Amino acid sequence: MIARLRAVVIRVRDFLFRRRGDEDFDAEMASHLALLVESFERRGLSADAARRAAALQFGGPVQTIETQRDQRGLPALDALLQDIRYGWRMMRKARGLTFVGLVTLAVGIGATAAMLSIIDAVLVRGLPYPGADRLIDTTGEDQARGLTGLGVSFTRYHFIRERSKTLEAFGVYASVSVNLTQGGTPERVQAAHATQSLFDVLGATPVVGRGFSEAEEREGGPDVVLLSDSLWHSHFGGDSGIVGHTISLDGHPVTVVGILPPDFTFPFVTPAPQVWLPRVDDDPVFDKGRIRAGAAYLTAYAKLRPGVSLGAAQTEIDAIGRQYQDTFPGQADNAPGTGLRAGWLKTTLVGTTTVPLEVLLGAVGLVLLIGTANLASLILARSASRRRELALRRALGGTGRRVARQLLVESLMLTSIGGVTGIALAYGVLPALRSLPAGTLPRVDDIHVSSAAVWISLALSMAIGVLFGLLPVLQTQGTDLHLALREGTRGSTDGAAGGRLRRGLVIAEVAVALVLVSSAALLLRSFVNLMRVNPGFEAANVLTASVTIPVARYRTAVEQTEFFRRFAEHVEALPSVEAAGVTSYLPINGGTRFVSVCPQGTVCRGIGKDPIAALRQVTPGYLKAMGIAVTQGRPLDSHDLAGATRVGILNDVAAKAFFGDANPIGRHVMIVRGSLDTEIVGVVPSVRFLGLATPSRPELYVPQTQFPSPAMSLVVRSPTGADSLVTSVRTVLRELDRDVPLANVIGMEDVVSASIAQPRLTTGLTGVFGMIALVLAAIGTYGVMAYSVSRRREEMALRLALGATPRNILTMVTGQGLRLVAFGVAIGLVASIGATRFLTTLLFGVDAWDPATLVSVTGILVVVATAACYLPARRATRTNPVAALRGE
Amino acid sequence: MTVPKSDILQGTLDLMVLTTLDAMGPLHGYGIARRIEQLSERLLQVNDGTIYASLVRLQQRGWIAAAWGTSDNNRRAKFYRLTPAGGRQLKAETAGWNRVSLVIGRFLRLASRGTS
Repeated sequence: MIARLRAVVIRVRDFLFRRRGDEDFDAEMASHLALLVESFERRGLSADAARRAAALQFGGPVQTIETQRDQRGLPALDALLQDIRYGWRMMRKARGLTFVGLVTLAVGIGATAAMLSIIDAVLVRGLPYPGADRLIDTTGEDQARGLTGLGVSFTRYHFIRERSKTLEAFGVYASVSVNLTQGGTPERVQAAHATQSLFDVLGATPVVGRGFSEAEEREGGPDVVLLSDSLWHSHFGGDSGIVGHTISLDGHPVTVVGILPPDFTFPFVTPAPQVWLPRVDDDPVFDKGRIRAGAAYLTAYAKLRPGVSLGAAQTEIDAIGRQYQDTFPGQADNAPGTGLRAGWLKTTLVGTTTVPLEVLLGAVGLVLLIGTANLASLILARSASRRRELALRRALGGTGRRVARQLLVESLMLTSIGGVTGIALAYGVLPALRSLPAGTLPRVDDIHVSSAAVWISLALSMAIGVLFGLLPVLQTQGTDLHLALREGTRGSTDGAAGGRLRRGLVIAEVAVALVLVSSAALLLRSFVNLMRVNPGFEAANVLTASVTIPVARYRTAVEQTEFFRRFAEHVEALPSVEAAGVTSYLPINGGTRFVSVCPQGTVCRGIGKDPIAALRQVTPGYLKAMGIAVTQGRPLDSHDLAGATRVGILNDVAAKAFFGDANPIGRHVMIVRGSLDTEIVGVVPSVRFLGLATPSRPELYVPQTQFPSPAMSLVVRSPTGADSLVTSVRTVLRELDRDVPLANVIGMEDVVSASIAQPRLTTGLTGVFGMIALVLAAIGTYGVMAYSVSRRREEMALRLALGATPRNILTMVTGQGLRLVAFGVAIGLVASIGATRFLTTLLFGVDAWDPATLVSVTGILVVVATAACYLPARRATRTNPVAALRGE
Repeated sequence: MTVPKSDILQGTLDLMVLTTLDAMGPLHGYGIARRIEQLSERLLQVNDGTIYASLVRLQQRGWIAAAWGTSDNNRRAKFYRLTPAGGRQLKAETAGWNRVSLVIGRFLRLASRGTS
């Protein structure tokens, strides 16, 4: 055993120093031969005869060296190195082909690695919490109105938490924002009120300090806060001494009790909360009364007990829900058909991203496929032209296996370089994703090139390498060496099999390209449709920002409404401002608050049963600032004050839904909570406030003076640049209250644009992949046609010599190419109709079978393919018959 | 009768080389080849070059060692000598070989008696 091991070590050593070994053995052989010659001379042979006899006795020196060397070093490795050196020479000789091949592969593999990494991070990998596969979320649903994804009420949360046996932990939170004042300057930071049980669900234990105590979670408990690791570092220098001390939140001293771990992420809210407060029923928008009445404003997550299925949890939640209904019949979240739906937390988080990502992965796969087909046809073409070389090597004694290994090494070299370059590309490209607008891609911070993606991509490159290495081997196998050697000297068509394979590749490439390009075209048309949607407001020249006043200092409704009234008035008075106003909820990204309303003339049935409308508290300038014109009745004005008649404006969807064709002006609706009778004074066109692709729902605008809210968004229409405007708005705000910051400053156009960032990304990437596919397919077609023409030079010459006109040749060659293209198009069309079905959920305003798109894409493809066939065909017409037939 | 070259078992040649070195002390390749030729009484027709693969193999196993030296007639030559490990190996292999040849010999005798 030890002797064996020793032998291996020595073999490796001798392999590394094989040149020295060779020299040593040469000397030894020389000395041996000299001794032999001497002995033969002694026996009386002449010098010449002695040398001959010695050589005979010793045996062939080359064979001896070879066997000695094989015994000495690592012959397999030696041969491999030789193959690599040779492969390197071949690659350098065919630089153009190598370059095209490498780029094709690198792009294909790089895109694949990147997409796989994204999918791994977003869809495959579990959430970064202990027991992540047991995490669920529960959302309210209202089957009667077809609403899902609603919140959970504080009362229902407690009811379930006390009774559930299937849930190991059940926690809730509500996002808020607080003004953190440090060193005199206020700053708006994302925050959340959360229960300690939420941290239990997510398995987050503070690294410094502790979580919330029971006393802190009770109403009226001490004011405490948990800080995120990033805020702790950015604002408090990562000093653990901060725990136990107070910081100023909304102008109040609050004691820091703990710091959350650095790896605790909260991707469910963007941006993630930096400050965590106890007491979810301390909400700035929902007062205690409404919370007790069952306002469903909380987000709830739970962890299943081990071994409990999602179905079992749902059954229990439904059962507890029925008890809840019986116990608290009057609660707002208790109408018939309402309940909680449990779903896996990861699925919720990933949400609508799954389909686009799968589509993109499919697109990448198709690009890789076309690239591979391209490479295959290039390599086949080259191997045909190398047949003579290969035949020569066989004739000179290279065994079939040795030659095959050489080809395999060559192609593996190509694909491994391409694969590694591609993976490097993925490393370069992926970080760019983080610069996408927040929310475009969930878990974007988790995205990095994953090892699984690297391995799969490498394996793919190797598989392609083996495939391409073996293709030419299969082609040369069984060829007649004599024929091959002769063939090379005179141009002739190559083997029928090779030609068929290459023509098949052209057909496949065209088909796949058609699928990809038509998908890209459909997505592009959807995106154009999306951009053409009239959102119902004029986004240009509108700047928005959010302003939240601390309820602790603005306790009364009058204080709150006065603040925003004066704020809006002062901003409107700025010289460059055309119009300005505030609103409780910005359209598209600002969230929505639905209220139950009971239109005059219908029987009121109570909260949860009456129709709903999205409530918007605004100042009179808001509609003008957003470019929303009143079509009927009057706008809100400065006389609509707290004491005056309650008034409201409906959008046309609401007017139609509540009053049919009757004139809504002067009619009344009752906002069910608080029984607030509201006179409709105007009607405005609908705004697509749930997103460009979502049809509008009923909206009710009311004056903020009659319906206070401490959290508002400012909307300013001004032709001047944002920077100077923001400065003057900040000044206005500081004059009103120096502790209230202006936050989330963003143009309305950017709000709209960010809302379609995901379709834009999907469309853009698919478009790029479609273009690459088109180019690759064109190159592939061109390559095969050009090669075929070059092989058929003699045939063309003969035809020309026998009287064919260049026009005949042109028609013939182009026709042959186009026949392949036509096959490809036919297959591609059928495949497209099958494939675009998967796009349905991503399409907007265009059918997956849209004939116009298919026709135009086919047109583009045929034009490109015709060009790719025409160029080689034209070259064929320029064949010089005399030269070609002489074999020059 | 001559033994076809390719059929000479590697082990056989190795054993011959070890025996030679054990009997003769340090020897160069030429000397080893002559000794094998002489002892096998020319029954074994091998080219001198053949023994070199064997010499490399034995060196790798650590059973023989090599060093350049000067031959009787003042010629530079590489001398091989048996190492202690090689000596032990030779003993073991000789015993094994004797046992095998004993068994085979007896078997062949009995078998031929049976058939006659």
